[in-house]
This record gives sequence, C-alpha cells and structure tokens, in this order.
Amino acid sequence: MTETRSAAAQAAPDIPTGRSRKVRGRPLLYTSYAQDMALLDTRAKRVSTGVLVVLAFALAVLLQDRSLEVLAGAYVLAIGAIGLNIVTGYAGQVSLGHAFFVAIGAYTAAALSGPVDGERLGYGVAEIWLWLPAAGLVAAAAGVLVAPLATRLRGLYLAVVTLGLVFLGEHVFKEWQELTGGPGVGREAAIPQLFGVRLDQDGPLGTKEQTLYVLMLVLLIVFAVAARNLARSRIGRAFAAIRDRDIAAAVIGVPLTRNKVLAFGISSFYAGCAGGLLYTISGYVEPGSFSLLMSVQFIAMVLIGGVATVSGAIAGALFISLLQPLTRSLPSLVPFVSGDTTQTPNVFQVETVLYGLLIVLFLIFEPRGLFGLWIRIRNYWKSWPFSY
Amino acid sequence: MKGLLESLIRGLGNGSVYALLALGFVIIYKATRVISFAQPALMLAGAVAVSYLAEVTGFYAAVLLSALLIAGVALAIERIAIRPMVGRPVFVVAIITLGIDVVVRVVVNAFIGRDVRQMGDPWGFTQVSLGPLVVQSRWLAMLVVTAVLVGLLFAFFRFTKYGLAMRAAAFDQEIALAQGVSVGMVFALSWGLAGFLAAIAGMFVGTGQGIEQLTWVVALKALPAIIVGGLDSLGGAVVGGLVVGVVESLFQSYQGEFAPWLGQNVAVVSPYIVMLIVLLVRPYGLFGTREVERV
Amino acid sequence: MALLTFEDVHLSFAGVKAVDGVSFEVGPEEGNTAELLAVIGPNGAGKTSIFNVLSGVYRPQRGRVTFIGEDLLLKRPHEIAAMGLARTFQNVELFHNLTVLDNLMLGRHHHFRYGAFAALLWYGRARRAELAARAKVEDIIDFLELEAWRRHPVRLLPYGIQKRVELGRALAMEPRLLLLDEPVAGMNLEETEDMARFVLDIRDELGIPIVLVDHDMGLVMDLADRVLVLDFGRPVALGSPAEVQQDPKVIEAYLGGTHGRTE
Ligand SMILES: Nc1ncnc2c1ncn2[C@@H]1O[C@H](COP(=O)(O)OP(=O)(O)OP(=O)(O)O)[C@@H](O)[C@H]1O
Ligand SMILES: [Mg+2]
Repeated sequence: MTETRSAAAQAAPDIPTGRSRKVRGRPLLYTSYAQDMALLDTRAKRVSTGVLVVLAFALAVLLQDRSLEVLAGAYVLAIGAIGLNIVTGYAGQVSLGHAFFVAIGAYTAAALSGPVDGERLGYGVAEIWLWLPAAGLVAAAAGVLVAPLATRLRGLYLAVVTLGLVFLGEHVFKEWQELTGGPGVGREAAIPQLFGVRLDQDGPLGTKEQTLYVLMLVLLIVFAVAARNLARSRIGRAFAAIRDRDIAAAVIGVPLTRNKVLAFGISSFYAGCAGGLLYTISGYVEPGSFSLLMSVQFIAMVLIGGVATVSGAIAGALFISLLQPLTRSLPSLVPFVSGDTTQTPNVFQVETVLYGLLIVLFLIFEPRGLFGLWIRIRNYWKSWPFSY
Repeated sequence: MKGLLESLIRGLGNGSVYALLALGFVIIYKATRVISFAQPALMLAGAVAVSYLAEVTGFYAAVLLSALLIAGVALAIERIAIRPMVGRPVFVVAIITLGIDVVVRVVVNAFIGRDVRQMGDPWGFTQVSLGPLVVQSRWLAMLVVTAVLVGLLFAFFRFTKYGLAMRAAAFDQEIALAQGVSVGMVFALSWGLAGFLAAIAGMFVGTGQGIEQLTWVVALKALPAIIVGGLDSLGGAVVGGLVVGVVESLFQSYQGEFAPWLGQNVAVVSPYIVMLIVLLVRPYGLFGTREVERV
Repeated sequence: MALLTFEDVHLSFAGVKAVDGVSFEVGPEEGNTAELLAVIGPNGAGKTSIFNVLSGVYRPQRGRVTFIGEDLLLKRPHEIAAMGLARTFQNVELFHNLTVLDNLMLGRHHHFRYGAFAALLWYGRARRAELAARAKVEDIIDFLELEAWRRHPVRLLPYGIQKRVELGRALAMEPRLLLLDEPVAGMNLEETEDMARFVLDIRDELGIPIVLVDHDMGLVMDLADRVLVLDFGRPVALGSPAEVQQDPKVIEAYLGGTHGRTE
C-alpha cells in the first residue's frame, strides 16, 4: 500500500522514536506517533499527573496517621477495582465474583508469610516481593480456571455463576479453619517485610502508617501504569472489541477464548495482590469479609468512578473508602443516626443505603461516573465563559 | 427409605418456594431481559408485611394483602428506576436492581429489628402423617399453594389478553410493539407479578422458624434454580426450583454420612454446585433457549 | 490453483435451505490479475450465509471449502482471519465505543506477536510493534480519506463513514481475499461513487481479489469480472456481467418468478 500511495509516506514519516520536539503554543499538535500514543500525551496531563503524584507522596508527612491508614486502604482497594475494571469494564465480562479472587490472594499471602509453627497454616516467607506476586499468581490461576465458563456463558448467566463463586468461596473459607481460623476467629494477615525490615511497624522509614501508606501508593502507581499500558496495547483493544461485539471480533482475528481467559487471569491477579495487601493494614483477616457485599463494593467503585478507565477506578475506590469515615462521623453530626448497630438507623445502614443509592443514581444520571463528571466540568471550563 | 422419602418431601416443599421466587426472576427476565437482583428484598418485605398485618387482619387476609402490597412496591420500583433505563445495557439495569435491593433491604431491616419475627401462620412446625411418613404440614402447604399458583400463572399466560401480550413481547418485542402491545404495560405487569410471588415465597420462608434480617439470602437460592432451568423458561423455573430444593434437602440429610470430608453445611452451597455441573453440560440450562446472534 | 474454492455447499436452518448446492472459485488463477466476483440475488437468497460459512460463523451440513489450499471448515473464525480472509458486514459491525484508529488497529490484531507481559510493561518490542502498526494504519486512513475522523468513537460517525471504516478495518488485516457484504447499501450517489472508486483501487492497485455482494445492479455490472446469481440458496447462473444479464433464468428470478416460493 505504501508504494501505491506516496502521499502516505509523507504524512507518515519514518517512525520516530522517543520524544520529538514539540511545537510551542499548539498543545494538540503531534509531531510523531510515539508522542501521540504516549500515556500522557499533552503537557497539561503530564504536569497535572506529576503534581498529583508529588502531592500524594507529600501527604505521607502532612496527614495524621489515622487518615494515612484510610488512604492506604483506599489505594489497595483501587488496585482491586482496577482489576475488576479490566475484566468487566474493558472486556465486558460481568463478574460478581471479585471478592472470591481477593480472598484467594489474601489467604495465599497470609499463609505464605505466616509463622511456620503457628496456630494456622504458615510457611514463614515474609518478604513482600515473594508473597505478593505469589498471591497474585494463585488468584490468577483460579481466574484462568473459571474463565472457560465465561467463554461458554453469555451476559447475565456469567454474572450469576460468578456470584455462585462468592458463595462457594465463603463456604470453603469458613470451613477450612486450618487456613482461615473460621468465622468470628480469623487469622493474622500477611506480614509485609522488605529485605528484613518490617513495613507494618514503626521503623527507620517513619511510623507504621507512613510506611504502609508509601508502600501502597508506590504499588498503586505501578499497577495503574501497567493497566494503562495494557489498555492501549493489542490486548486492551482485543478486550474492548470482545465487549463491544464479540462475533465481529472473532471474524477479524481476535481469539475469543484466549482473550477472555487472559482478562480473567489478569483481573484476578490484580484482585489477588489487592487481597494480599489489604489486610496487612489491620493485620487480621476474617473469612466473613469476602461476601457478596465486597463484590458489590468493587462494582460500586468501578461504576461510580467510571467504567473502562483506570483513573476512574482509582477515583471510585477513593470515593467509596472516604465515604466510610464520613458516615462513621455522622452520629456526632446528625442526632438521629446511631453509631450502635443495634439501633435504627445506624451508620452501617446509612452506609449501605448510600452504596445502593449512589450506584443507582450514577447509573441513571451519569453512566460515565466520576470520570464523566470530570469531563463535563473540564469541558465547561474549556469553553468558559461560553457555557454552550 | 422412609427417611429418604421424608427428605424428598421437605426438598419439594422448600423447592416449591424457590420455584415461586424463580418464576419471578424469569417473568421479569422474559419481559425485560434483565435479572432483577431486587427479588431478595421484595421477598423479605413480603414476609415482614405478613408478620405485621397478621396481627391485625388474621393470617390469610394478611398474606393476600401483603402480596398485593409488595406487588405495588415492585410496580413503583419499576416505574421509578427501571422504566427510565429502557434501552440501556442489561448489565447496567441489573446492577441498578442490585442497588435497589440493598436500599430496600435496609428499610425492611428497620422493621425487623434484632428479633425473629413470626408469621402467625397456622402451620408452625406441626407434623402430619402420610401413611408411614411423618412430614411437616408447612411443606405440604408450600407444595399445594405453589401448585395452585403455578396453575393460575400458566392459565394467565395462556388464556388472558395480558398474558398473551406478555408472551408476545417476550417472543419478539418489536413485532409485539407493532401489534399494539404496550411495552410499559408488559414491564409493569412483570414486576408486579414477580413482587406478588416473592411476597408469598417470603411468607413461606418465614413459616416455622420466622424471619430475621439475614433471611434474605434464602432468595439467592432461586438464582441457581433459574440457571439450572434456563433463564427464559417458566417451566424451567419450576423444575429448577424443585431440583435445587431436593438436592439441598438430600445434602442436609445425607452429606454428613456419605461425604463428611466436604465439611459442614455443604447443603448451603449445594445449589451452586448443581448449577455449575448443569452449566458445564448445558450452557443455557435445561430448558433455556440458546441465544443465536446473527451478523 | 484457485485462491478460494467453494464446492457444493449445503447449509440449512431448521428446514430453511439458506445455501443449497452452491459452487464457485475465486482467482487469481495463474498469471491473472486479481478478480472481482459479484454475488447477487433477491433478499434471502443466501448471499450473507455464504460469507458466514467462509468466515467460520456458520458450519454447513455438507460441502467443501478451501482457501490457500487449506480446509476452511475445520477452522475457527479468528484462524480464518489470520489466514488472510477479511470481510465487511451487511449491517455495520464496528466496535462502537472505540475510535476509528482503534477499530483499524484491531484489524491488525493477528499481525502482532507480543504477549500480555510485554503489554503491561509497554517495553521495547510491544512499543515498536504498536508504532509500526500505527504507521500502516495511517496509510489506510490516508487511502480511504478518513483523516478527519481518526479520534472519533465510531458510533458518532455518519453511516457512510462507518461503512468506510469497516472497509478500512478489513484492509488493515492485509487480506489475501476481501469479502464485501453490500458496501453501498443505504448510501447516496456520491458516497456510492466514492466506495466504487475504493473497491476498484483495492483490486487494481493493491491487487486484492474481492467477492462483492450488492443489490445495486449498476455498481455490480460495472465492477464485476464475473457474476454469480443465487435464488433461494440455489445457484442460477455464473458468468460475465453481459452473459448473466441475458440469462432468462436470471430475469425470471428477479422479475417475480414464483417457482419454489410456496415451499
Ligand atoms: N442464523 C440463522 N438462523 C435462521 N435462519 C437464518 C439464519 N441466517 C440466515 N437464515 C436464513 O437463511 C436465508 C438466507 O439468508 P441470508 O442472510 O444469507 O440472505 P441474503 O441473500 O444475504 O439476503 P439479503 O439480501 O436480505 O441480505 C434466509 O431465509 C434467512 O432467514
Ligand atoms: Mg445479506
């Protein structure tokens, strides 16, 4: 084709590598495909992302330990939400089973790093760079095992089957007391240790909360960048094609089974890593945590944040996580809401209603989630003072 | 043998309750192509309504009133949250129903409180003898009432104008539209019927042991039932419900004896095990129609 | 040997005979340039079904289909695509939420070799492959004059442009044979002329043989080297446009012959 259309050769010069010069004052003019295909393709994006990252690290010294703990948890949940977004948002395979894969990661990590002669199953591998990938891989393996079902089932059949997975998992985890300690008892969570330094204790790097906060932030950045890379690669495109129209995808050369298996595998890897990390903060895992409610929370994060965007999943996770301390402080603000679970209305009920309502309201009014709201606001300011 | 038969009857009794719930799921699915995850909340609401009304009007009137009340609630939900979503992806609507379920259940829980609420039903745990067998009378009540309701339902779909309209719409929405069937009416009817059935099911779930906040999970057993039967088959819903009930009952009676290594309480998850096995063999359940897409 | 042979294929759906004993071949035979075979016939004649058999969407009950010497009936759709058989669809089947660029890049899916790990890291090989693919896709954008729409999600594009994007996606596959299912259906005169120009360029300049289905007789008779006429799944005639136009059986099939219609 290139020979026949010489004009094409001019419009598309030799593939330049690396950054090329930028024409000043025309932020949307690209001078190379490399630049056009970069993750942060405009200066505005580069600057704002840079500022955000620096700010996030600065928070480690600016915030109180209590807030750092909440944020560290939010970052871990964000990793899980990105994972769910990969299979459900990008690849369109509705999974209500995310909690199951999170659980697998949590217990793999806990068992690997647990003391060898302790009360529960333990192998004494406390180094995080060993147990974290292992947690991800074991969960990914479970995902790959489930995936063949996904290739046979469509739409809501798959949703119900993955829901069944959560119930099956809940049962197994409650019964397998040697591993999990059983309901109401639980077990100690994974121990994060890096080259002999315990990251979940006050130490040379700062307080326990500061250290964990920085750890989770770094990991979130790694996982988020990887997910963005995946999304813009041949694999991310294949996922989206299967989501939008699977028959057409197959006919143009996208293998359906392989890509669905891949989507479940990668998504479960994220879930497993999130599971391994999540409980290092409290130091304790309870088998009752991995219920349908957890899956719904992850779905809420994805839907509220914005389907099929990585930044949306992060925003959604932050939003849902920050909702909790907010509702917990309600009793002091609103007299009729009680902090006691035996009273009605209590904060837990308010919280649950909020999840439900937020999902419903976002889906009805802003299906693109927080991401969509952000786009609207941005477009408004771009055209300011003309609001049309 | 006696034990096996008694276990079977218990399974069929509970299974017919699952069948009522499953019918609600399938009716909504056929009309709107969405699985309504709000069924558990409606079921619980129905049971709670009976427990309050029975003190005032007596049990039987309370059951009828509650079923109508919950049908009304379902209609309202459909009108407010589902109808505006016509044309949106089914996944989105399904998740909305999940959100609705969560919200409605919190409200209903406020009416339940911490205690167990009794239905005021005439059966309780009383037993009757069927020849050599001794079974609980409520299981028989469940079976009989469900049989009657299923009969009425099938007659409704076969002989009444509205029932036929719903079948037409389920078969091909566009053609039905062209023939003057109102899709809004079909949506509303499906939710109303599902609410009605869910309330009756909730009442039965509450007989004997009563209901508490956690009782809603019983409704989730209807999910494996509809998958086993096939999402879009009314007959499949009934068969699926009964299969799930019987399997669960058999696990309760015999798993401890024959397969103790599976752990305790496997009966709780046995419906899902059946579901997975059926799906491996038949991806569209026993009676569901295969979706063919054309390009 | 012919590029594609389609031999005595029978396909039926619950009693409806969609394809009933159809045979044809597509060149290039030795020394010939790429040919354009048109398949015509009234609604429901089985034209789209033939394409669906070729791309592995339908399995015929009987018959033999070979492409570059391999049995197509044993292959799955994505394998057939990778062998170099590309198509467009009668009702546009694009990936609606993706941009024109991404839709075209998807056409190149099977040309990529890098795996999931490279994708997550976006390191050397993945990045290089993506950039190279982008350059090829830009050639197609240029060829089909789609520059203005590059970044638009395809669902927002006018119908005529969507059809063109779909053609672009098929071209991006670098096919050895191209199947076009009603490429000008629903288009106005100007769009039809543009499309005809593209189709001719593809055959003559790119040298890709084409099987074309369309109801636009003017277009078909202008472009086709040979024409296959179907009616109720059965082959009625096969020959040059001139021969076919004079065939009494063809005229009958089109002008309300009622044979077989009572079945
Ligand atoms: N998946 C299917 N299930 C049932 N019948 C089918 C299916 N696909 C095609 N048919 C039937 O096969 C026959 C041929 O259809 P096909 O789409 O191949 O016709 P066509 O020649 O492409 O018609 P048109 O010009 O309208 O596009 C029709 O009677 C059609 O209804
Ligand atoms: Mg056709």
